[in-house]
Formats: sequence, C-alpha cells, structure tokens
Amino acid sequence: MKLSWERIALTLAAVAVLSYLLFPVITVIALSFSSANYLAFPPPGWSLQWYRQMLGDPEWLNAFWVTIRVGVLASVIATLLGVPAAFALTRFVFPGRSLLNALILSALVTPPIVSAIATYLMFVQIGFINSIVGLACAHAVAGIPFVVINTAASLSSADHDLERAAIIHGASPLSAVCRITLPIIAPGVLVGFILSFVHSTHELLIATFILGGVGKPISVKMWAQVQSTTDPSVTAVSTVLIGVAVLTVLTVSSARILANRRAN
Amino acid sequence: MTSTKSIAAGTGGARVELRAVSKSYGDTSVLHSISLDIPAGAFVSFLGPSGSGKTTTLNLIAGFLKPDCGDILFDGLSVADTPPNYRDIGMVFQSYALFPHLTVCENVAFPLRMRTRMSKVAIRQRVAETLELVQMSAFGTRHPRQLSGGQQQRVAMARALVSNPRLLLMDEPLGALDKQLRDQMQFEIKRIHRRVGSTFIYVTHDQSEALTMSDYVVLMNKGEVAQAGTPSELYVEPAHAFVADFIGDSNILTGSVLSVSEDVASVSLRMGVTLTVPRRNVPVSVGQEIAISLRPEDIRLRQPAHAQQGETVRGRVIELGYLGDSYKLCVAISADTLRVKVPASMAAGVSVGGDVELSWNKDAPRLLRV
Amino acid sequence: MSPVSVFIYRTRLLPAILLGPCLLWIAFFFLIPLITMTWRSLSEGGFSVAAYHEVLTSPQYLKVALNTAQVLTLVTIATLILGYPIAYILTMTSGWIRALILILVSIPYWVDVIVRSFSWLILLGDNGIINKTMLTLGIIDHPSSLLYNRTSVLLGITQILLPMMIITLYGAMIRIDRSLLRAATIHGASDLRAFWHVFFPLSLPGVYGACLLTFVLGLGFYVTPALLGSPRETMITQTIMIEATENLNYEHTSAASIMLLVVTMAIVMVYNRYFGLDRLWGGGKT
Repeated sequence: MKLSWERIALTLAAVAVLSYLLFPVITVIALSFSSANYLAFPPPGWSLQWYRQMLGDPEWLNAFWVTIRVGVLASVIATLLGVPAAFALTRFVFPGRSLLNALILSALVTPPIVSAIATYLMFVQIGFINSIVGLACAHAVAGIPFVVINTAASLSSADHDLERAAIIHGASPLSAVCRITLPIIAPGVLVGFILSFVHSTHELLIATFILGGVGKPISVKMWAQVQSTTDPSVTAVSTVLIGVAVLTVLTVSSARILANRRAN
Repeated sequence: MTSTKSIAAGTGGARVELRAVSKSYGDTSVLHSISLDIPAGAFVSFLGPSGSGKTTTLNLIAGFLKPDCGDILFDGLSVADTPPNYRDIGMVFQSYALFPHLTVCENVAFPLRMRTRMSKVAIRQRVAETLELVQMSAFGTRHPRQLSGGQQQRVAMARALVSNPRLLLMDEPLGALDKQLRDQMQFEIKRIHRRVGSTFIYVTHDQSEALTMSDYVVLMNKGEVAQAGTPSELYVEPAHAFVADFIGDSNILTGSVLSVSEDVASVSLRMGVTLTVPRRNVPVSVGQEIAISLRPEDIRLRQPAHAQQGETVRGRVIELGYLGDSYKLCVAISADTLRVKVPASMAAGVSVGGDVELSWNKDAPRLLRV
Repeated sequence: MSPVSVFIYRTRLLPAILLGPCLLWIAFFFLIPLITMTWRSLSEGGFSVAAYHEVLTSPQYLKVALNTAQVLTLVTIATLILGYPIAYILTMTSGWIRALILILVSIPYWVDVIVRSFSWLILLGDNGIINKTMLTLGIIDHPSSLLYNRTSVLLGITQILLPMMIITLYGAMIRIDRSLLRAATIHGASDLRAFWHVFFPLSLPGVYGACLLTFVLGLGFYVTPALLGSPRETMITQTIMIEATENLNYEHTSAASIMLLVVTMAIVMVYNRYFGLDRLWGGGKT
C-alpha cells in the first residue's frame, strides 16, 4: 500500500466521517452511566441510577415486551409472505413482474406519515386500534421488502442447478426446496427477518396512532420521555437499544459470511 | 408408476424416442420437429455448436422443459405427463450441482432416500459400492467445497448412478477440467457405462470427445439434426458440408460439375484444378455448384523434385505448425488455401515459402450435399 | 405419483400462488388504507377538493414545504460530499479493513432515530462537550446556543442519513469494473485522472440513485427537526403529524399526505425512467 498524499487524505477523511457517525452513539452510552440530572458531557460522575430507574418502572418493562411481541409477529408474517414472493420474482418470468416488484418495494419509499395516517384511518373502521396484532400487521407491510430483497439476493447467487439436481434424482419440487434450497438461503432469509424486526422496533409514527395509549411500545414511550424531561434517563433505554443494534449487526455479518460459504 | 424402486443390478437402459418434438421461446424456434430413436443401453452424444439445441433437447428429455408439440417416449411409453422426479433419470450437470451443505456420502445417498424405501444400512452399502465405482471411496465424509473439480465430477456421477437409473444424462460434464484430466475422465465414463449398462446421453460441443466416447453421435445445428449415426459414419461419410466441417478438420472445396457418369463426377474446382470424384450415390447434374470435402490428413506431401503420380496439385507453404506427432501446413494454391496434416517423419525439408506438391487417394475427396 | 408434484409440473399458476398471499396482504394493509385516506381527503364538506385547496393555499404549509425542500437539498449535498469518499474507500479496500468499516458505518443505522437525535442535544447543549471545550479554552465566556437552529437540524439529519448514502453508493461503486481503471492507468493516466475520467462518470448513476433515496427518506423526518430545531425549522412530516394529533383535522392531513406521496412517487418515477430502480438495491451481485 503506497503512502501517497491521496491515501493520507482519504484516511483522514474516513476517520473524520466515522467519528461524526459514531461519536454521538458513544456519548449516549457514556451518559447512561452519568450521575448528573442534566445533560452534561463528559459526565461529572458515574452511577447506575438511570438503569435502576428504567428497570424499576413497569411501564418501561411493559414497553419492551410490547415492542418485542410486535416486532417478532410482524417479522414472522413478513417472512412467511416474503420468501415465496422472492421465489416467484427470481425464478419465474411473467407479465407484470417488474410492476409487482415495484409494488412490494414501494413500502420502503412511502413517507412514514403517509402510511401512519392511512393505516389509522382504515384501522379505525375495522377496529384494529389499540391492538398489538394490528400494529404487527401494519409493520409487516414494511418488513416484506426487507425479506424479499435479501431472500432474492440469496436466491440469485445460489446455483440454480441445485434444485434441478434434487428434482431429477427423485425429490418432489417442495421437497427439493425444503431440503436443498432453504438451508442454503437461510442466512439471507435471516438477515431479512432481522432487518424487519429492527425496523419495527424503531418505527414511531404508525405506532403512535395505533398503539399510542396504554400498551405503548418503546419508540412511543421514548419519544414522550425525551420531550418532557431534560435528564439523561432516556439514555439507559437507548444504551440497551444500542446493545441490541450491535448484536444485530454482528449476527447479520456472521450470517452473511455463512451465506457466502454455503453458496460456494 | 410406483414411487418405490428396487435396485437390481444391471437393469439395462431405456430406449428413448423423440417424435417430431418442437420447442420455441416466444417467437424464436429453438427446435424444429426433432425425431430421434436412441437404443437401450447405448452411449449417445448430442454434439453441436452453442445454440444448436442440444441442451434444450436434454432438458426436454429430463422433463425440465415441455415440448410445444411432439412426444417423448421411454421404452415405448410417453413421459409427456410425467414430472422429472418420476422419470427414473440420473443427471450430471455442467456445474456438478453437488449439495454444498451435505457430505459426499449424503449427496450420493440422496436419490436413494428420495426414490426408495431402503434401510439406512442398505443405503450405506449401496453408496459405498457406487463410490468405489467412481474411485472416490476415501472421500465419503468430505464436503463438496473440499474437493477438486475432477473429484466433484466423480461424486456427481456417483449420485447420478446410485439408484441404477435407466437413463443417465450428462450436460458437458468435463467442460471445466483441464485437458489431461478430461482425457482420463473420458475413459472413466466409458468404463462406467460398460459396467452399468444404462442408456447414456452425453451433451458436448467437443467433437473429438463425442467421437471417442460414443456408440452413436447426434450432430445438431440450429435446432435440427444434421446427421445421426456412428462416429465413423459421421467422419467418413458426412451427409453435408456442415457435418464435414464440424467433425474433424476438413477442407471444403467449391466448384462446378463438368461431367457426370455412374460412378464418378468430374468437378472443376475454384482453385484451378479439375478432380474426378466418386459419386457415392449423391445426385449431381452438369453445371451444378457442388462442395467437396478433403481431410487434411488424407493429403500427402511431395517435394517438386520427386516423380509425379496420380492427381497432384502444386502450391506454396504459407504457414507451418508443429504438433509433436505431426505438422499442420497451410498451402496456398492460386487463390485458395488447403490445410494439410502430415506425420512429422514425412515433413522433412518443408519450410515456409517453399513449394510443395500435394496428392491424395482417388477415394479421399467426398461430394457433399449442400 | 403424488398429485402435488403433477400439479406443479402441469400448472402455469405457480408464480401466482407464490405471490398471491403477499400481494393480498399488501393490498389489504397498504393499498386499501391509501384508498381510505384518499377518500377522506376528498370529504371536506361533501365530496370536494376543498381540503387540497386549503392546504395548497395555506401559508403555513407552504412555508414548511419550502423549508423542507431547502433543508433536504442541503442534507443531500452534505451526505454526498461526506459519504462519497467513504464509499470510495470501501470499494478500494478489501478483507478485514473493508469489513470493519462496513460494520462501523452500519452500527449507527440500527440505532434509534430518537437516540441519535438526542445525542446531539448532549453534544451541542449548554453543558455539552463543544460548549465545555470552548469555555475551557476561553474562546467564549458563556455557553452559546448551538441548538434549535437550522445548523443543528442539518447536523442531525445528515448524520442519520449518512450511512444509507454510503451503503447505497458503495453498492453502486462495487459494480464498476476495476479492469477499466487498470486499463486507464496502463495507458498513462495517473491515479487521480483515472478516477476523474473513468471511475467518477461511471459512479454517477449510483450517485443520482443515492441522492434520490436520501432525499426521499428525508421527507419522512419527524423526530430530528422536532428535537433539534426551532419552530422555524419545522418540516413537513411534523406539520402533518401535529395537525393530525392535535387538531384532529384528518381531511387536511390526508390531503397533505396524498400530495407528499405524489411528490415522492414523482421523484422516484422520474429517476426510474432515466436510471432504472434495480440499481438502487445492491443486494447481491448481478
């Protein structure tokens, strides 16, 4: 690696930008251990008070539980719907394919406020407000593109002949998919599932409309807390979420490496 | 048709027939009304350039594609409505398609688990026998990614053969191997064919491979069968110009017919020579434009100093290539070029730019249908 | 023979069967809500476009729309300038360095928007690190108000959208054929010129796609401007949200949402016409 001024400049730029990206995250983690009642960085002292406050508040614990239930349900639905859809889109050619592809992906580019109000107006009619299942159903719509994109990517990079090899040697099409293709694309499907889950845990606007009352999820409660208090109590919850995020990324990265090894 | 199958040794191959099979993709016709009759237990090659339809035909026989019209029969029974998993076929894919998450043993056992109700013990024994057949017994617990290309190819063969299918399909299985390994594997595959006795259909674009290995060769071009027959039939009696050009190396000479008799025809070649050529029942008329094939190895060299006999042509050597056992020459004769192949011992004293005289047996040139 | 196998072999309906449930779900939980909202937007005082008219002529909405457009344009430019070098580095490195940078870039993406915006309160607040540093260094003698202005909003939104810009650019850059660069250098171009004349033009479709994505995602921003900005910095999603939750005026908010959706779709379709959407989704390699 030659040491030209271009490389030095690029490296400095990289360090600067990465710091810009990561420094806020680090500050939040640090502040969650702060002993002060105001937002001071660096914190004047260390304490676990905010974690104790969070664990002692039944609303927080309930919120965590609601968030997990919604996220898992939404992602399971998204996976059950999205994996067959990915098969259809990658393995077959039929009229209207690109249109359907665009429709499935459109949930990603729709502004969240549009989905939020639209979903609310319709859910009011069918009585899905204040329902965990209701929110999960709405979140599943946004989860489907994550599952489809990642599953489709796995499917296209896998050897197409593997399924044919299974079928010609006696496996029924369903058997071939279950025994051969699914194990190979499993990491891609898992990545889609995780992305869908994480998206659901962050989602705020639809959650405010559908579940903003008693059984609110983490995102809604955090937003309420941030707007009302000026102390670092939210940072404890944030740190837990950051921990979840880091775990997610590590799992996703390992899954991707596993996927590459399996496809080869 | 039952879904359980008992494995009897040497059940023999299936007779495979195609009757007027056509296939199109949208507006493009890929196969025009192909008819074939492949005898049971034969080793048949589907040969042809890319786009000739040979892989499409293979996929139709396998059942991955459905013909637009026509029928496909195994042992006299139509398989048009039979899904691929019920056709009792083994197949070796160009990419081998070994299941990466299974071991070699598990890969080979797969057809037995799918098609039969054999016990685990019986399966293990059969797998061991088949691995021995392809000489991969020591690799049972490895995964495909730990094997070389040649080894993967053998495992793919084992998997295809383990349930003793009546038909084995191979789609350019040796394409990814280097020459030495390819030559070795060709003999391996022939040996296995003799041992097993199923019908083998082998797709390749390499004509020397097809000639070496097959009982019959089906040469395809642009969706049609150009010629089907034994390797020597295709080589020695090519039906028309395409076959002569594709099989082996051949000089294609064009000219017009001067006179016709019962046995021979006299042709005035563009390159300025008149030849008398055996007719061999090819219909010709005076004045007709005709093509003649002349194989490079049938042409003999003589330096101009030596005495002349029979029909000879004089030309100038413009290219000289050394092949170890032989020399390949390009000889210019007026405006045309003849390719000549001579054993190394016969080429003494020949150099680029030098003059040579070429001669050949009366029977060597062949009249071709165009 | 199992009837299922035979059915799958004979039918042409397999894609429809596989796609069916997914499409039905999207139709019911996405399209029908949109239709419901459209209906509502046309319901002000009977069936009319009054709601649209009111929104379009409302000075508040117009001001917010203008502010949103300005902020997002600046954000797009900023993320592009900051993100392009990183994406370039990612493309040019390999092995563990690339993996490490990718992980570092991805981590913020999975942290809550609320959290990431909140962290700027910590950084820029009166007791935050910047003020503290400047006080200690004696540059200022009392904490200056760095928050609740356009700059803080820009800093926040840029930071949140930056990973997406980087990853999208990287997805496009990684497809550029490296041998083209080698061909350029072999024929006499310096590294810089090879970049400018070969790499950069080839990366432009990816740049447009990434900018499009950034802008479109920026339209949905709510938390960041609310937390870090003053009322002058209100963005469109905030306005709609407030009107929905406080004024309960669903006719207006539906109309405004529909218009926002139309604008978004228009941008996406214009892009698709010129560049094709599949370039956006890096996914695997084609």
